[in-house]
Amino acid sequence: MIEWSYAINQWKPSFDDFTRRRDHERALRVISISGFTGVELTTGTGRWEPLGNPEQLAANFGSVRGFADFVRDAALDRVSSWFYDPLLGFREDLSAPADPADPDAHASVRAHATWFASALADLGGQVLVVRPTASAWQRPQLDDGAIGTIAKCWNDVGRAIAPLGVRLALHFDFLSALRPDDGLERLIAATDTETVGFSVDTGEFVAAGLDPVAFIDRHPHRVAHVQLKNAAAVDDRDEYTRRNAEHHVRKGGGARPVPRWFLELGVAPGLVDAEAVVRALVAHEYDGWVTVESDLSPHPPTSAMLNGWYLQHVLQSIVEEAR
Amino acid sequence: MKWSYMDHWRSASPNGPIDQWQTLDSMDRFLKQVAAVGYDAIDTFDHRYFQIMDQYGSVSNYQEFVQERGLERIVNTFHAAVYDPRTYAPHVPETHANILEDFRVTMDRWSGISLDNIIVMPATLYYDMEPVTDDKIKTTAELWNKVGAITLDAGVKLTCHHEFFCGIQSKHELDVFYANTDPALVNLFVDTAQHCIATVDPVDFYEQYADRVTGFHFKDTRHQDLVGDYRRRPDAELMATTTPKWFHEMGDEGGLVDFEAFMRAVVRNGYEGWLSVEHDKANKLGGDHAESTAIARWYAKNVLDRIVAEEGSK
Amino acid sequence: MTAGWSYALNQWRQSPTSFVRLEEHERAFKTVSAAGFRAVELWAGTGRWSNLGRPEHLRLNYGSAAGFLDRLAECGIDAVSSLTWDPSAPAAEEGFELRSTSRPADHGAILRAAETYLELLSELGCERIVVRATEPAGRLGSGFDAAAVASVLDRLGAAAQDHGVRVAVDIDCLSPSARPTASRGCSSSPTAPSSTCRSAPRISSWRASTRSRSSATTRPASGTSISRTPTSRTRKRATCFRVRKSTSCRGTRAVRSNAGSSSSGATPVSSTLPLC
Repeated sequence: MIEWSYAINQWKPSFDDFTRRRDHERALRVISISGFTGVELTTGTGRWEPLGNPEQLAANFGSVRGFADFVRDAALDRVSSWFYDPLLGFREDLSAPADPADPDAHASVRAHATWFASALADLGGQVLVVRPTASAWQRPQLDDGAIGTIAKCWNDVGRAIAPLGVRLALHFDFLSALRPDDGLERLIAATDTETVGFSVDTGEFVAAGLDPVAFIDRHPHRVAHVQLKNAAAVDDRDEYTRRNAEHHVRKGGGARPVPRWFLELGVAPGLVDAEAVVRALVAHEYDGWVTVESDLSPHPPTSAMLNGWYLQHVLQSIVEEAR
Repeated sequence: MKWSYMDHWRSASPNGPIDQWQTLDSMDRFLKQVAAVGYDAIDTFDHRYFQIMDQYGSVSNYQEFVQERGLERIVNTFHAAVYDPRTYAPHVPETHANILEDFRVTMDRWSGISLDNIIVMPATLYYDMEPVTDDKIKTTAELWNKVGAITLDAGVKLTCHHEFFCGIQSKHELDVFYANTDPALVNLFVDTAQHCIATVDPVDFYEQYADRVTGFHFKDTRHQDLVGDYRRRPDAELMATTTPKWFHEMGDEGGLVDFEAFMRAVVRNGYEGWLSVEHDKANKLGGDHAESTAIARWYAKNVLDRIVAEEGSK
Repeated sequence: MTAGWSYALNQWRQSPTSFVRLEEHERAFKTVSAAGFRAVELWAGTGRWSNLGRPEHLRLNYGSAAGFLDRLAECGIDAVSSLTWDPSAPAAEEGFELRSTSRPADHGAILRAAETYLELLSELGCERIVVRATEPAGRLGSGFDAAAVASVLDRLGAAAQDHGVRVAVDIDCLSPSARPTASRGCSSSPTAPSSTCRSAPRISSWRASTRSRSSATTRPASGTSISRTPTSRTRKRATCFRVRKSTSCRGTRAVRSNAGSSSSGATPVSSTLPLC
């Protein structure tokens, strides 16, 4: 069965936004009334990231379970998933960024992943979505040795969090070091099929020139999570290799520039065929969360509401027809 | 209970804030957002007729456009006249012929669809009617009795919405007005915030006139007018001393309207029409129409629906 | 006459309900001043939310024209450079009449409406009123009459002169006489724009003489300057007036008092209606 959640990340465009309780409450209510039943959190650190990690949840809501109550008060069922980027360090434990391509960082990655997965279990969540490695400009070449190191890291994590009832989903994005030389497919081949799943982020796939439907058809049993969003453009100039691509390309739009890489579902001139994605998921009897995302939205409530309309009026009928 | 959204809206564009009437695309996005959060229909302003004709060709075409996005229909129109004691003022008998003709024209324009109500502010701005006397209110009532006959003939109820800054807004003024209007022709549309600002308790007021009520604007306020802003020249609505933002969506913090008590009264009195949500000027002080629209609907679904169920089971 | 720089306040008016409160005015005045401008341009409007656009509301809000000047001075603004006015825009205060500069029967009403502004400008010591020559092509249809337009602008110029004000005629991109000239010095050479393209500037030249740009086609009254060349005006006549005929709303002008008595489907003035 497909369950639908919404990613909270669009509400926090910069570090000092989205810190107050009222902001959180209103965002959760917008998600709920737009037709979603879950919310996906994103990792963060420090006192201006009240939803960023288990310690901040406890500091702001009394406990992790206190936050679960807060979510339910907004008429959402639960937290569906948590996005964790290991290349983010944490002030809470003074930990440094941890790169899965570095064997010395694996213990830190595993510890933090378990920290999040434990909290996620308390929140009723089921998927820890992770950024598997750095950006391409940071690690321009991932040879098979490096892929093996990264795979070992996530195999360990997958085994560590499985007993918590939380699945691991590696999330590929269009700036990823996995993009050149078929890195994504090599990582799939190198990871444990039982404990390491993947997240299909449709907008990121299309921006990277990949076909998300083909991926689902090719690896249906490895799809552990879906982030559904539209893409407005393809990075066909290899701008992802540019230094600090997160700033210059993803947010800055690159040389063209691209005003918005990602759009709401079903709107022109979007390139993602969301209906085909859902049909593929249904065909393969996908059982899990589809998180609709609109990161970098200029207007989060509108994005959530437009995506909610598309969910209710287009996508849900595809799921219901299959029943 | 079905909910309609009174279509105040602003959104960002490369040319600055726009309303939904700018393009077909902006209307499409507006309607989908309203439908997405569970409203069943919309209300609108009847002066939008000109844009409707320009962009959609007819009122019924526009309603089809609305329906294609998952909303049932257009329930009510608000007749937002610009009052002027020289030409168009309910308390000035010499202007009545002009007003009556206006409504004949308006009802003809909107005859292509079925409306429940045409909503009016029944008096001029307060300062244009001062001193507000019982005689002026009676003259005003005479006009609306005649207008009500015109609208009813077109199958639409005339209903009165009392802004806190209009010439009939205090409890005494309201009582005089409704005592002199024909219940068969002139109805009441209760705006919870407007009455609250005017220090008229919306629950008590509704209870008193429940049999004349044909609709509501569910909206909230954080302030009452305790300093006479209602008579402020040239404007009370945006330029008041009390606050730059009178209106808030229901479900927001700090509101003065007791919506739970109000909804209990609605159920208790057996109301069977549409409920409208409004939050005009929601974009003031950093607010946002889309978010407010979602928050209000969230409140209706998650709080007021429970009240309806509780009260209905008694 | 010396040149100075002024800034148009209309950019702050993003919607009918915006830029209404006096504290918003104050912040705009201070911003303009801090950016190095010493004057502001007003624009005409209608309704109680257009309180810098209607003389009666400006006086009401600031006590008097002098009071408004005092407030500007406190914010570092020396003067009101100009006021823009569209005689074809319906105004509630004038009964929502849909006037046309091409229609001689409307000229009396246009001149009466102008008088209200000219009196204010005189009180403000403002030397320029920028007048939109015609309504947009889409509303005007085939009714454009250059001679009638010239005639009323001449009379406006004379009336303005009596108040110490000069008329600057504004032709914009929606004007029926503007479209064919777009390639003439307006779009192809961004580094050297033609002087004819400066008729609707965001930053207006204040106190600069406009006599040098006067049209030879329309003999201006002594107080009138027209920022269009004869060539552009004559070319426009041949190609610009094939606009679609209005499809709706004829006959609605009989109802003067209700909002939006537009005959064209153009955005009605009633979108500014102050009700909820």
